[in-house]
Parts: sequence; structure tokens; C-alpha cells
Amino acid sequence: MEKAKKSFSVKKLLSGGFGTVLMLIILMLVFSILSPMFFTASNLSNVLIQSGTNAVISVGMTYVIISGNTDLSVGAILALASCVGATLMVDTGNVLLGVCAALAAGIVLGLVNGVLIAYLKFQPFIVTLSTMWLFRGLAYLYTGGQAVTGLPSGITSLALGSILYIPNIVWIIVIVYVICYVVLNKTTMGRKVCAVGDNSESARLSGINVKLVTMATFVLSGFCSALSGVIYMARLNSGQPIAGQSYEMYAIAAAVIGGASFTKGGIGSMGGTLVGAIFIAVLNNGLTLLNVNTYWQQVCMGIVVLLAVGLDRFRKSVK
Amino acid sequence: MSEKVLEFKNIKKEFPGVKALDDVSMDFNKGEVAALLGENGAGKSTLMKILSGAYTRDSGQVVLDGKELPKQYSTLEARGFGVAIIYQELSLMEEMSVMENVYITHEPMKLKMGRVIDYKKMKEDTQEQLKKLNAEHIDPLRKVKELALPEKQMVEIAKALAVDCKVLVMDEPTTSLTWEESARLFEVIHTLKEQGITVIYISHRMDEIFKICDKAIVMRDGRLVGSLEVADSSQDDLIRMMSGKVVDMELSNKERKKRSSNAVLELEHITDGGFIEDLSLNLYEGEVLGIGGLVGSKRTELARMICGADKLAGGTVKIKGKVCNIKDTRDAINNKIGYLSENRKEDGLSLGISIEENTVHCDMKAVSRYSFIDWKKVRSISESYIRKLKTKGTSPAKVVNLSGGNQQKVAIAKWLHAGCDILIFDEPTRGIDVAAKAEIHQLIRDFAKVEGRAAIVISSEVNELVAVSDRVIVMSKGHITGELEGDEIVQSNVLKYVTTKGR
Repeated sequence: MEKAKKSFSVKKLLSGGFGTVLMLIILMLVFSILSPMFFTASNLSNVLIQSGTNAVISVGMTYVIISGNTDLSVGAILALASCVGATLMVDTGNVLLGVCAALAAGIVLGLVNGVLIAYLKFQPFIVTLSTMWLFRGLAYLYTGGQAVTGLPSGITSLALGSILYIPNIVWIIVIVYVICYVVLNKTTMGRKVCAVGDNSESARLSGINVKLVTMATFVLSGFCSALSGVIYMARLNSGQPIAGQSYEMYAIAAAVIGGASFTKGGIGSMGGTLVGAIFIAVLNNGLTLLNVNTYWQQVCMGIVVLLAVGLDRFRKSVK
Repeated sequence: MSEKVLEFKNIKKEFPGVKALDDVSMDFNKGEVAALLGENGAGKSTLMKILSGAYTRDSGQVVLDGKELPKQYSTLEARGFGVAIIYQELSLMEEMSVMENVYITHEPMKLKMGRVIDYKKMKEDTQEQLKKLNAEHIDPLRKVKELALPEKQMVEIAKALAVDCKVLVMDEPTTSLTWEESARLFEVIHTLKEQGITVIYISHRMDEIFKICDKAIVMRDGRLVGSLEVADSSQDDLIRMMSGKVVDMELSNKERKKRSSNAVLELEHITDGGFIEDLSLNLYEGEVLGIGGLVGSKRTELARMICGADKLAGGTVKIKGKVCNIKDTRDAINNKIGYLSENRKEDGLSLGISIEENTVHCDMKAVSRYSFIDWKKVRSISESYIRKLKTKGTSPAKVVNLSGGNQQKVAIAKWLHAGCDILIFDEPTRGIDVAAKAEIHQLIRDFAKVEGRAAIVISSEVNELVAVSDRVIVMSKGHITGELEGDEIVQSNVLKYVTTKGR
């Protein structure tokens, strides 16, 4: 038992997102040295705002990954939900109605994934790969391939406005993360998600409704994608059917950098994912400030995710 | 004739906390069929896994055909040495053809063209091997998944012959075969013997051993008990050797409860649409009912159906006189019936999660308010079970870091917390040392003592059934083949029922 305690302290140092936080701090230091523009209040606030769409999607993605699945359709849900919301906003002039419609669309689309995966036992990877195309195609069909413009002015104030000197988008991120942190760690539902991810058969035999729990994670993921779609729509002041391309990859990357395990369920944390999402935003922002071309940015992104996975391996081998 | 082909010398193997093999020596002659006997946990399969290269021995020697085998070798290398093992779960590639399976890793190559497989030769050679087994009706080009089980076994044997097998181990090959299919397999074993191949035959069925084996080697608790010529011994001799001295965890007959008249669980005409057909059984208040039987007796399947883990195809389940239509495990727990699974690692516990969380998995409602978990309460519940069950581990420790016995205690704690009146313990002490076994037996007996409760213990270990049960039934291929009560519950009686074929 003593041995377990000893290794626990080493492990604790590296898990719980600390390793990732360390990487983030190093990265920020490097950028601060290389670019005088990086460590300024306006740029840092900009980074947070830029991380917004990905940070919010990553919340749902983390739940899905913890329960042992994957959701590749998040980017497409973002596009379809925001187009639905934008159209309704243009038609009625009512911002709130449009936002609610977008969020409802996200829930419904998540439900489609969830039912196919949990109740009809389709492979999650294949289902969400298919719905990724399906939802994206519907978004193009719905809008005729054109951006939905002429949104009421209220929506842009959502993106540009701030409360207590803190930008609205940052507020949204904070609220979503706090709620989902509490649900994951303090409620029966959250613990059931972990139990299903760790061992779904054991969870089933313990009387946990595995199907319902699995479906719920996809609904949450759909909701988060739609919320992210609202942020996207507000920042661009339009509904874009092309929005959110390859966002699923960024969301997976954020979760994995934050310590979630892509191969084994039951592992992952909200704090880790938030750090992961900020990490990605910092990386993109810093590289752009340094005038690194986009091709090299992609190379860097790939290396960073590999490093994160390597850290994960190291963490396990420490045990 | 008595030319030694395989010798084990002073083999020792230890797993954390368990001496699986303690100084075991035995030898096998060329062309003999030797039965390897012993109850579960006696060390038979550990020894065979050492032979096959799946495990590495701690010390001792394995001598094959006069040559000592290296301390560590892979299962592939073992195949090259001429050792083949046919497990109960056959290890064939279902999607590949018969011939590809027979020559897997030893494919005949076209010599001049480098590493190109010579399929024509492969087909001819496969046909030849199958002919030796009187199984030329199997088409070498067919996919294995299209074959029936006895045919698959023939393919496994052909696969062994293909690499010039000297020793062939068969682990309970007849459990899923019909009587006629078994008889055909025995003929094949006879042919193998004539070809000079040594067959090590693992089985619990006495009648088979007397039919086909020359020699019987008995193991118990990781040691060799002795070896007998089958021709000069009786069934009772073997049973005596297998069960050995009465272990101290034996339950005295005075402690056995008389069955009460109050049935808490009534199964009527239960059917699973396969082996289990029209099975009826009552469980009475306060009793511990032991269910014995061999692998394939469908005891686990029965338990899983009652507890909502698998679908019940027909029949009624009455709990305390009330007909219950249990659809899933949640329903079962709500009806106060729970099932402790036989594989704690695969489906019994969430290994990556803490002891305390596992403890409350079956009943999270009891520790939460408005679905917010009261972690203090979880901790105190978990700690009370840790004290009561003497689990070695702290509440927040992950289950994966515990030993098998302690993991099992967590699984038991989980089901005790579930608040069930009827618990089915499936192999509750598998892979657990003797001291922990006795503790778990006591826990089960204590559980059943409480008013309105009863327990079922499914076990493949006869002495465990004798140690915990007030009543024992024996199942074979989905049917109840025997029932023992009170003074009748002794090892030899149970063994007799278990090892003689039902119908």
C-alpha cells in the first residue's frame, strides 16, 4: 500500500492536467520572448475569445470520449444548427428565438447520433462519420450553399460585448465548464458516464442504464456544438454552412492534450480539456504572430498532439 | 515402449500471493494418453501454459525428447518444438480457410520465388493431414466459421500434426460435444496414440478417463498428488485423490440449515431458447444454495437470465410469491435480486475507478440527493465495508491496484450495498487464496442469515460447494441432474454427480 502511495504522488504531479499546464506555461514563455505582441492584455483576451468555439465543443467531446466513444459530427452540427438559428433570426428578427432554435437543433442532432449508437448499436465512429457528411450536406441544402446574412444587430453584441470587463464569450466558456465540471464530478449522471466508459458491461450489470447514459453524452455533445455555433454566428454576424470544418479534430485534440484517453474510456477531466483548448488557441495565435505560415502551423499542431499523447504514455508508465 | 517424451522437473511458479505450482515433477511416455486431473485451481492449466510458452516458469526444467527447453519461449516457438494445445475455446481464425489455419505460421513456400506461399501444396498437405484423422470430408478451402464444432476440433488437431507434434494437450475437449461426437473424437485420439503422439487429456469426466486414458495424474493445490495406472484403479480411488483431505473450511453438518418452507425465489419452466429448457427451481428463505457442474453446464447463463443480464426466453420468475417481469439489471436490483459476475475483471468491476465509487455503483440513489452525490457518505459507507470485509486498500484507491482477493471483496461490498435480498454469487472465490476464501464463505453465510434473504453460490470447486451450501444442486448442459441435502453434502457425493454425465 505504501508503494502505491509513493508512486501516487509522482503520478499526481503529472496527471490532473499539471503536465499540460506546464506545457502551456512553457509555450507562453517562448511566445512572450519571441514576440513582444504576445503577452499583452488585448492579445491574451483575444486568445481566449478565439479558443471559445473549440473550448465549448470540447466539453461535449470530453464527455463522449470519457464514456468510451467518439463524435466526429460536431463541426457539422455547429454549421447546421447555426444556419437554422440564423435563418430563423433573419425571418423573425428575434435573437433569442434564433439562439433557442439553434440549441434545440443541436440537441435533436445529438439525439440522432445517440439513438443510432446507444439503442441501435451502430459503431460510434461510423455513425458520426456518416452524420458528419449528412448534417453538413443538410446545412448546404438548407442554405443553398450561401451564407445567411442580415442578422439582427443583437447577435453581434453577444460576441463583442462584455460584462464586468470580461468578454461575453469568456463568460460563456466559464459557465459551461463550471456546470459540466460539477455534473461530471458531483452528480450521479457524471459518475455513471465514467463508470460506463471504464467498463460498460460492469456498469450494465450494476444496474446503470448504459444506453441512456451513452445517448445523453451525444445529446450534450450536440448541444455544445450548437452553442459553439451560436458563438461562431455571433462573431461572424452570419450563418455559415461551411463553418466548423475539421473542428472535431481540434476538439478531440483538446480533450486528449487535457489527459482524456482516446483508447480507454473513463479517463478525462474538464480542467484538462479547458487547458487543452487554450493550449491550441495559444499555439495558433503565437504562430500567427510570429508569421509562421499556415503549413508550418499544421506541422506544429501535429507535433504538439503527438507530444501530448507521449506525455500520456509516460504518465501511465510511471505507474 | 516406455520411452519418456516429456518431463517436468521441480517446476515452480508463483503469482502475486499465490503459489500456483509448488515443486511439480511428472513425466509422460511416448504414445500414451495421460489424464491430468484436479479441481479448479489445482495448477493443471498453469502447468500446461508453462509448457505452451504462455507463462514462464520461476524455476525447474522442462525436458522434451531429451532436450531441455529454454527458460523462456514464445507460444510460436513451442509449436516448433512439437507442443500443441487445444483449448476449450478453440484458437482458430474464423474468417480464414481451413488450410490457412492448419499451416498458419508454417506456410509452405515456393522455394525459388522467395516468400510466396505455395497454396497448391498447402491444400494437398492439408488434405493429407485431415485424412490421417479420417476427416477428409472437410474441404481445405472452406472458411473455418462455416464448420461445426467437432470439425473445428479436427482442424485444430490437423494444425498440431502439421508441425510434427509430439505432445498434444487437450483441455476438456468434450464439454460442448454430443455423445456421438465425443465417441468419434476418442477414435481420433486412439489413432494419434498409434502414431506415437503423446496426448495429455484434461477432463473432469470420470467415464471418459476410464475409456481412453492409460494413466491418470492427479494434482491438488499446485502440487502433484500422484499418478495411477487407469487399468488398476477405480473411480473412487481417483475421486479420493482429487478431493484429498478434508480442508478446515468444511462446514459441519450441524451448521447446515434445514430448508424453510418459505420460497423467496421460484423459477418455473425457465427456457433460454437453447440448452436450458423447462427448468424449475426454488430458493428458500435463509438458505445458501450451491450449484455445481462443469463448464458448459449453463449455470452462469441461468443466473444471468434471472438477473436481467440476458434475455429470458420463457418461463416465469417469482420473487417472494410475486411474478416479476425482469427486463434488465436495473429491474432486477429494484426487485432485490443481484448477480455477482464470475469475471470481476471483465464485467464485475470498474477497475480504473476508486474502491468507494465501485462500492456505490449499484445504488447511487442511496448516496445522493437531487442526484448530487454526498461524497462524505460514500466515503463512510465504503470504509465501513472495508472494515467489515477486511479489504486491504484505502477508500480512494483505484481497484486496479488491488490483489484479486481484495478486488473480489470490493465486488461483494458493491452487491451488499445494493440492498438485495437475493444474491447470486458466481464463482465468488475464483483465484483467491484459502484464507480469503473462508472469509468470503462466511460473508455469504452471514448474508443469507438475515430474515427474508437467501443466496445462490455457483462454483466449479466441489469443496467450495460443500463449504458454503445448505443445499446443493448439480447442473449439466442446462438440466438439473442431482440434488443433495444435509448429510448427503460431502465431496465424494458432489463429485460423483458432477463427473458422471447427466443424460
